[in-house]
Amino acid sequence: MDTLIDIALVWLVVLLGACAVRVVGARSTVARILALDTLVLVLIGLLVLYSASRGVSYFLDAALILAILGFVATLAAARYYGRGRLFG
Amino acid sequence: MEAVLSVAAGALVVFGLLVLTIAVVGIYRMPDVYTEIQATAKGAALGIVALVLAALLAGDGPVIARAILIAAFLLITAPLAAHALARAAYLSEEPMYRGEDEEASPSGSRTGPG
Repeated sequence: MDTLIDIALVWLVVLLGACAVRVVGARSTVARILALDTLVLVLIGLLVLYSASRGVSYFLDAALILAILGFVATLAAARYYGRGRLFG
Repeated sequence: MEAVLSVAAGALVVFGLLVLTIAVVGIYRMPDVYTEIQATAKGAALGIVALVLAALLAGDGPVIARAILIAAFLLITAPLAAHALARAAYLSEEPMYRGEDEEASPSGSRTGPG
């Protein structure tokens, strides 16, 4: 189980790097926002797995805050890029 | 009981990693933004929820409470974020993939709201 979680953590870091490369080399702004959103989700998975491997709960607080911030950031960026304004 | 929980958590971790990998491969391989959105919106949320369920099976009280919160929040917000992104792509007139045949001759026949 511990070995599995270690391998999983390394693999998630690889996915994180792939998302970061995609953020830099995206074809359009929407693709860039999408890659950033995916990067935040992979980071949440990394925190959750790390919390499970250490048996502590406070990494999950960080994961929850990251989920909220990532959602709000994606929503704000998408609305601003699509319509030129945030509200209304 | 302990061994069953451990095996179930391990299987959930492997499943979550597999689905997350498919989601990340999706943003590399899909031909346009809309298909990238549908690949990652489902894949990333499902993969993270599987990882959170694995942590829930292996954890105790505080971990379970936070894990349920994270899973519920992600399941609610992932479709909303995907919808906002797809709407932004449509409003900003992102090119849409029409298949291999028409890719050679971009006709630009897509009709948007302007």
